[in-house]
Amino acid sequence: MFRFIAINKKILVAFLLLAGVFVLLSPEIKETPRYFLFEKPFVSAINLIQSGFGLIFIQTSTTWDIYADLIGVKEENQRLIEENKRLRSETASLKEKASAYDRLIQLLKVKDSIHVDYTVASIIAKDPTNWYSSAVINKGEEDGIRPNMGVITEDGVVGRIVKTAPHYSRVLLVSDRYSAIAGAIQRTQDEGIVVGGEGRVLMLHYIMIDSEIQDGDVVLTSGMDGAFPPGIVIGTVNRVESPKNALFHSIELIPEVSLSKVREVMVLKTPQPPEIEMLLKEDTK
Amino acid sequence: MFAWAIFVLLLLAFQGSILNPFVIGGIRPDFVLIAVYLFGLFHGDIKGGFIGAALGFIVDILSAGPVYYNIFSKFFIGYLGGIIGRWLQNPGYLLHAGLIFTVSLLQGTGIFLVLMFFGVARFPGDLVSIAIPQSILDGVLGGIAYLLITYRRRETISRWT
Repeated sequence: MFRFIAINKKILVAFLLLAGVFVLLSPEIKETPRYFLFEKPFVSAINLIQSGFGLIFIQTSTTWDIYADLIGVKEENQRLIEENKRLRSETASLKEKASAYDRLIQLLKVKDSIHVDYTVASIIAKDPTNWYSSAVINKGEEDGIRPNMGVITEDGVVGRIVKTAPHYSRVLLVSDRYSAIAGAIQRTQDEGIVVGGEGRVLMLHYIMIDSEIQDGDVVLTSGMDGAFPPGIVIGTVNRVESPKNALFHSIELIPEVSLSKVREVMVLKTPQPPEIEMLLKEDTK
Repeated sequence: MFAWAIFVLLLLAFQGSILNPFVIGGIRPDFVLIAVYLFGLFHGDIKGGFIGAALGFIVDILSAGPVYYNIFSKFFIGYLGGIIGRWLQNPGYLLHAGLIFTVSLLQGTGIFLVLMFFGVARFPGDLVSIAIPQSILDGVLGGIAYLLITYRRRETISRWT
């Protein structure tokens, strides 16, 4: 076959032209929230192998961690006893505050917006290129995962779901150049958009120059994007620049989650906007 | 053929795997690029080109990029590998390391231009922190891979003569 093509250079040119048309159409394919029919077999086969790799990695690292944990366990135990004492007194104080909070919530009849159903998933692969920050998780549509759902860990925001298959989903990490999450500064309540920056940092855009933001301020999700409930930590302000005559600050954030080390995540099953549900329904028909 | 299919699947799975031990400072070497270049070198331009296009297509499916770009870049890298294989006689691993560095840098520049078209490129950050380190890593690993393949081939030939 290759010999035949080598003789007929016209076929080679035709292939390149067809590939060119395909590439020009590809942004449309890439934007859809579900994998296309021709993409599914490749994604399933490769993600299956990557799941195996992931399993080997988890088993090996768990065994190593157990061994490493045994070293210096006595000192660690002493330190934990001390910490336990301190935390007990803190818990008593916090319990009192929590009950006061519950009473106030009852009074205001406000629904607790942070309570969202979630599912736990493992990261099985990362983006094969260095240009984009994405990851594949081992849960998909059959586990109730839909595009635009938020992905977090106990530390903070990881990213959001951009593409789904029956058993796998792609997460666009918060550090990616295409990522955009609605955020708010905890101390001042100024709202902006958190996007991926150069390297491992994030940028907080659209914070007005008159805002009194400072280094060390914590940035939380504002809940305006529909993917995350308000109050989840995104990162901490690392650097603030206020250029003369500019309308907005230039703010650099350090993400709270170490994105290169994260292995287990929680997918928040936030209710999806009607347009995404409609797109998914159309695709299944 | 079956062995090749298995090798390709494993290579693609390994490229994005969290088990990849070759990731240095967050930079992942492009094993597919190295494999396509070497395949073109030993099997000719047409085969190299088409294998490159096929593997590039799968890389594009697995990547979060905005466009199917690797289908083209890997086609040309495979094709170029074939042409180099035909023109150069016993060029040595250092020259191949340099050539793999060059094609990887060209591929990176191409991606940068695509991102520029979409308005999301970061200059010079993308070139300094992604394209150049990746090209160096690809060049080094490509040179080692070439050395290993030729060493094995020489061993096989000497065993038969």
